[in-house]
Amino acid sequence: MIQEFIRPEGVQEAMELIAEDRQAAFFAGGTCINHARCPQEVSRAISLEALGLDHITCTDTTVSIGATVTLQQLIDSPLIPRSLQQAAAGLYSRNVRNMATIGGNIAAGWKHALLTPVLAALEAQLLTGNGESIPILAYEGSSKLLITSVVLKTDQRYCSSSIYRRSSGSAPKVQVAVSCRTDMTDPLVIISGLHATVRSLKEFGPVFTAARSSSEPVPLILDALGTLDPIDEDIHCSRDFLRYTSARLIAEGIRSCAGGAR
Amino acid sequence: MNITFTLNGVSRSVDTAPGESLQKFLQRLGFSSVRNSDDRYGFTGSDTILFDHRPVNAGLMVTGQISGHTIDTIESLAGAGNSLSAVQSALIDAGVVQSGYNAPAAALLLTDLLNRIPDPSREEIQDAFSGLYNRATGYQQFFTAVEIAKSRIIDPQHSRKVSEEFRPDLRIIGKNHRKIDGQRLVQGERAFVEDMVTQGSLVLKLLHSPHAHAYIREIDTTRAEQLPGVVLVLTYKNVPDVYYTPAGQGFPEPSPYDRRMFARKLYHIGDRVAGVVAVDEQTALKALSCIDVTYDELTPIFTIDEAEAPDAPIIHKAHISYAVGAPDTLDADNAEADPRDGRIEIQFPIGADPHRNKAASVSGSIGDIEQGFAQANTVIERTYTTTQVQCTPCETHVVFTRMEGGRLIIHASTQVPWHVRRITARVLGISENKIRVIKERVGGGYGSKQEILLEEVCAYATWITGKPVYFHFTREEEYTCSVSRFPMKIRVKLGAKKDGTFTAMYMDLKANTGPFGNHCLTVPMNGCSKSLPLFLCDNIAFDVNVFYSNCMPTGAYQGYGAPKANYALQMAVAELAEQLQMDPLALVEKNRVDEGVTLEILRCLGEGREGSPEVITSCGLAEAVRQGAQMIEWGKTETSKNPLLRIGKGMAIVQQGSGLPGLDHSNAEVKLESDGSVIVHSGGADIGTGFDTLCAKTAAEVLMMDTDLVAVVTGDTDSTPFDSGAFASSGTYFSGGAVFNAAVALRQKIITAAAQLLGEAEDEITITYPQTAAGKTGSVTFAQIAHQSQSGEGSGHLIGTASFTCEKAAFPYGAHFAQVSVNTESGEIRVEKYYALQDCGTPLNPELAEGQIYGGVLKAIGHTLFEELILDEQGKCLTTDLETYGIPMINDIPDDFRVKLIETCDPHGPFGSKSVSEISMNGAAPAIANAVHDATGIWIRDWPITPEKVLKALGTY
Repeated sequence: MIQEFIRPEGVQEAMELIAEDRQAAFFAGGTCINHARCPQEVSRAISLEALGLDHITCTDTTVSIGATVTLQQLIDSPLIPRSLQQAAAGLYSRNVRNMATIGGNIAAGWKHALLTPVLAALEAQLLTGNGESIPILAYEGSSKLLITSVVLKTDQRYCSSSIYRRSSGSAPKVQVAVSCRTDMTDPLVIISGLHATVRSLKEFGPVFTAARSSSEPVPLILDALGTLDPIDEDIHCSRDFLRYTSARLIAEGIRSCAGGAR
Repeated sequence: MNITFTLNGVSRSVDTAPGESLQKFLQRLGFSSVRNSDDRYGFTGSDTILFDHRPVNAGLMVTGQISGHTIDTIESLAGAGNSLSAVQSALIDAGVVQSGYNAPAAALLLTDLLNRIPDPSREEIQDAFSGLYNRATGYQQFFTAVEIAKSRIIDPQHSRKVSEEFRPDLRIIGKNHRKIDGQRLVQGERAFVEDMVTQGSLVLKLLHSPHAHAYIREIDTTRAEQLPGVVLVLTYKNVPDVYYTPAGQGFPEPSPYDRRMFARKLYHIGDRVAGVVAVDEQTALKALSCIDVTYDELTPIFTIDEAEAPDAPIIHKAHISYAVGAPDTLDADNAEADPRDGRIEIQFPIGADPHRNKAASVSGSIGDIEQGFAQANTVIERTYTTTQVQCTPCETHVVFTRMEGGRLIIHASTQVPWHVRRITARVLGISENKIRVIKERVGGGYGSKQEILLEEVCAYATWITGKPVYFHFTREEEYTCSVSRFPMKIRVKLGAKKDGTFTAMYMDLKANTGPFGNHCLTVPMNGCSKSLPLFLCDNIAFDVNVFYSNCMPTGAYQGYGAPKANYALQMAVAELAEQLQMDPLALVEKNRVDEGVTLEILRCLGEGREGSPEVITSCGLAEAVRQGAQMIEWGKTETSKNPLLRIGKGMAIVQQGSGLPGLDHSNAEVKLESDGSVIVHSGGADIGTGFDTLCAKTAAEVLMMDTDLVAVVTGDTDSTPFDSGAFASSGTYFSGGAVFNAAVALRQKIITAAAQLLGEAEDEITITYPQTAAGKTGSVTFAQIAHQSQSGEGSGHLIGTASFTCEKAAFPYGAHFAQVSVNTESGEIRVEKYYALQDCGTPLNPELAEGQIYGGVLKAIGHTLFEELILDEQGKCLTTDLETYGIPMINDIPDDFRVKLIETCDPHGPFGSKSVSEISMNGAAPAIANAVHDATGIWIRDWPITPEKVLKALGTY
């Protein structure tokens, strides 16, 4: 239960406030902290509202997205890559998308992370309150580390994001992001939903190449998925189905990348 | 913490705790329409507000966030003089506003949409409503509402007929008409139970069983009772030793009395262990954690197979008694009883054998079933299973009880106010005149509010303490403590000659009633009685067996037993067609019933009383099938450009009843007021379906007046006469029939009075519009007649009083057609087209009838494709929120979704009407399953038809 709601006016102040209290947390849209599923006890909310983190700016090669930009703003902005917009639209309710922020979504670190796979596939870097820049998969979901913005390189990779859910409003079961350089090298495959944390498939290059030229890529990818840790149990689907579906979505992502998807 | 913000255009400065839920805060400020129905899941949108002009969920926000910001609630849309905004009136006119719990949220969302995009596309509309849950009417009519609203914003006078109209010989009946409670609902007026709770009311919370099957060994409530603020703690030790059934059915009930307010034995996870009444929710919850309980765990069982196994654990090892018709074996059975299991009181024989887990059983047949199969050239036998699904009303179960002048007042969200009163009186041991039940607006029931699930315990708490008490299920409790559809296992055997003529039909239906036997006889029997009579066959037999288990409780759900049994039967017919190498539609056409046919099988299907054969007095089935086949281009093969997609078509015919002939009973009175207006008093319960509007239209039609001169009072046990309640599709036929008869009775009294005033014979008097009695020599207005009747020389207040009972069933019929695409790589099914063609006799409220059908069909699509209560090995429900459970939302509706009302005129219903709502649930599962087969060649014989099942059947992995 939040006992205190503080609006610091600068990043430094916010970081000092968070350091003071074990039960303090940064607070952006509130859709994770206030959500019934939130596992975290928060007594002190450090609001990011006054920190000026609601920007979307771009250069010729990068886009910088402030941590408090909402998922709906991502969808509405012409500066955002299509693949990230698709991932943001995975949050089904427009009401919630109007509240939920990119920073909050990353920081929550929930199993069915919506944005992390595609951001990882786009090789996003997180800028933190102490001035560091870290790859998104190096971020470990610590609510004490302030994300101030997310920086994407927009000219170097094709990227696709896809999702499987049972019905339109149900939580995603599997989310897959696939990317590669524009010369079809260096593929990245990032999956959420199968395990407690987001996973990146290692050494996927040969499979990517083979699958890209195969008329039946799913079996090839299924073999590659065999190297993953055992998939978590799911109440609706068997592990075999989730593995198959992941392979199918990866195949779909490879097709999209081959078609030049961003 | 003091916060300053702008609320509906006015700057406010208010003290609040910074972590207070914004939804609760706004309700505390009096904005009751900002509701909670998902307990901070951000799913239903009942808590929609505009925050800095964007729609958000107040339940996912805390008050600390709003300082310096702008909030708009539904009150911001109010026009001059309490008028409706263009958006609000459009929602009502389109038929969207039925239960109305989320109507204010819908109005805010549509306002936001049209502010952003004056002419939105289908995708943009779907996106705007993506965060709104609307179980009552589905979502199709939102598109109509958008069309009306965007035109009305430009031209406030814009109007259009949203639905086809019927009966040109009538002025009001069969015409589009704004729902009479639509305005209050869409404006967010206080209308629901939660809005009636007075400040300082106590709160009741339950301690739930953590075990699926157990005895309470010891329970110590001392620590809880000592907590400051705790008023009362209830356990099996201090509540009345009265057994009852939660089922609000006809009396005496066919359901066994196998439930006590609190019992020593626990039958499912979530069962009642104790109740705490305290000054607030926080204190009550804390007190629950202070109750010390130790349990003796027993082995639970969850499935039909487990329950009927010879060595199965016994769920109810209770002492059994019968009001009448006890079997000879009763004493021997009772020798095995365990006192800790309490009692089961059975009103009359229902084929129960509780000590072998059998809650009810019945068999019946006509003709010679064995001979019938012997005559067949082709026989098929298939087994179909259905899972447990939930009604999931937007407004979870809720009650508020208080004392007034020594009487108990129950503000209820119920389909059965009279049964709430009867059962509560019995449990409390007081006479019925000591209780007044006021049915408030109901935020969705769909059968679940035919049960008395919390009223009796809350009423008892008030009766004991003398204090007002509020009891509201959480969404999790709605899943674990409310009722759900019976899981079933249905074996169908069909025999046919080469030309397709049916020679024999057999249905072996096994049902899982869960821990209690509410509706345990009638739901499964209804499965037989609303499916088998769709076809003509001389040799029909059925066996019904119903078993207790420790799964979540079951009970009534819209469609009752029909959706499951019809799924099995219609699929079996399609499978038989494949064997016969016939078109399934041709096989249906060859064997289906039609008007004038006598349904002999109904002599065995009386649902708790002696059955009798029925003649079909109206039937639009032929026309429904003909038009549906034409609409979907039956027989035309569809292909997709996507090589992974297979497209197929399926259909099913459907039927239901209109109330329970010989069992249901409705009463009404219509009073003429001194200015010539009238007030209708009906015991019927409007649960969002438009029954109150039906009352107004009926009285206005009969009495030749406008509906705004008709006030309607319903569902109040003090001020209205008895009615069985809103279940079994009885509202229009029974409750509406009583209102029709009462209006006719008043008309006759008006004619008599007018004849006296005019000095003419009664047969010379006619009633003409507007509210005038005309004779040959002159005319008098209703106001003049009323004034005369209420004067010292008059005959007294003119009141038409009538009841409605009927031995004749008015069966509604229909045909549902689906076109699906099946992705052979993903297994995903998309319902591309769905056409529901239904004969409800004369459609009295066409646009509301359509809304009922859209809502029913979408629920059934949800059951067919997504929805499922899932238990773990211990019996704990894992799907206790709407998102995990898999509720269909606006993006799940068919791409082309149409309802077509097929007009017939039934001789028994008011204005020729029949029921419309429940039947809508009966077609989607078989139509979609058959379409999946048409697309892919596979038969999926168990709900839900998931991508995984499809892929397995296709052998994809």
